[in-house]
Amino acid sequence: MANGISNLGSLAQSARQKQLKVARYILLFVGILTVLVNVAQFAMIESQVDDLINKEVQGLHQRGMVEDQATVAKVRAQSVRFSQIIAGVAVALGVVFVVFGLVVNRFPVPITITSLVLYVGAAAVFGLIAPATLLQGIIVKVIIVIALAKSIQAAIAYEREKAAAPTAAMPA
Amino acid sequence: MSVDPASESAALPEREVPANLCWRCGKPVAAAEVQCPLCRAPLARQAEPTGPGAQAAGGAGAPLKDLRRVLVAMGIMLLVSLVGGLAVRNAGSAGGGWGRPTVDEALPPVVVLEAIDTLVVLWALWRIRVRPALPRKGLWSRLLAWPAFVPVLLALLAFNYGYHWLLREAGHFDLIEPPWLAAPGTAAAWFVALCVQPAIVEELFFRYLAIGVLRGVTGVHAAVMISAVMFGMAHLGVPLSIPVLIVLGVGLGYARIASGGLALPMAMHFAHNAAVLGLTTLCST
Repeated sequence: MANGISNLGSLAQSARQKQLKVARYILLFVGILTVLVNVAQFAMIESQVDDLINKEVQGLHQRGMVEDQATVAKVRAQSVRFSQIIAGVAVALGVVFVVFGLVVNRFPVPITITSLVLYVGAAAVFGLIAPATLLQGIIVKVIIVIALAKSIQAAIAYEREKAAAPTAAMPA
Repeated sequence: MSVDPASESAALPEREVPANLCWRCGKPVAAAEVQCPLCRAPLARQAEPTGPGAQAAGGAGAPLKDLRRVLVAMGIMLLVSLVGGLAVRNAGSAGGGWGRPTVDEALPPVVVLEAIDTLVVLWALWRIRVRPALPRKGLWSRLLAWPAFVPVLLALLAFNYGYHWLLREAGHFDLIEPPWLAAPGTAAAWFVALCVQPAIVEELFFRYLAIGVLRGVTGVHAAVMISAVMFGMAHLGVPLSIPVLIVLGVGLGYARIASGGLALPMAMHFAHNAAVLGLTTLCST
């Protein structure tokens, strides 16, 4: 009987380990994708900023106004620097996700919770900077959030059972 | 109003509730102990209590349920900040600017945003019961934590200023603008919105609720780090300042742990925000 219960326990633990493996793949996928996309974005920042500024200037012209060249140049320089820093931070965030993916089995609970907070927080930050990104790949984002939430649950149960196992084996 | 089962067990003398077994010597240990009284083994990361005390404390599913509530509250705060941030930006571009609102335009959305955040935190306080997972501190330890954290606060301020100075040098843009210089009539409202409300509401959520709940599922240091990341990510409106805010969150988290209460992190948070705004005002004038 006791052996049966311990077998059930190990089955449950292996299921949790499988969920942690899913979290690991998700974190590696999100991390690598974030790094690649933002490195590519970094190369295109100047042309994107120019496009946006040209649109604004055209809008001013249509309203019969004339732009101040010095202000436009200052705004352009600031926007390019701001976007470069944001892209740099995003690359760093991608690296953090990759590192989290590599160590999730060592520290399952802190890593899964931090990953969920960072992922949702980063989506909100980028959504505030560029609202169009909020709905981009929304289904994939929801799937990732659900998988990370399930991983937290699995990680807590996994840690708890792992911590309880040596206590049970100890002679009282 | 239901009776809290944990409060019933709390009425019992601590030593009479042997909820845990020490992982090293196997002797029964009270749930509140952080160290085995017999073999001195550290018990901070021991498994969930397994005895009758544990049943009274809400069972194994309670910390997960509370963690879910904390994460939901965090999600709502992020959503509110996102919608509020977009509203502030729209207010700015409606005036024909480059998406940067004037002080008068920004104040109403900021006040509404902080009011909603306060309501969310009150809801979380009502729904989540933080267990006394942090070790109890003696009077002297609590008192000594206050002077000990003065240099920590100064170091955090220096780091904040150094970081923003570097950003300003690298990006050639102003990151912090003292709002009352542009509209002195709203100075009091801005002071409450930027110094008083965050020091109370954010500390209640990130240092009391988040650390308290996270402590039920992970170690002290991990709980401080995760709550600091949550604190940083909650400041969506200042994305470039998030790294420095995470470091500030770590400092405030350890102030909570060292003092065993919320008064020290609240005072530090208030002093930090007031000093940043005061110094920025001085530099601007």
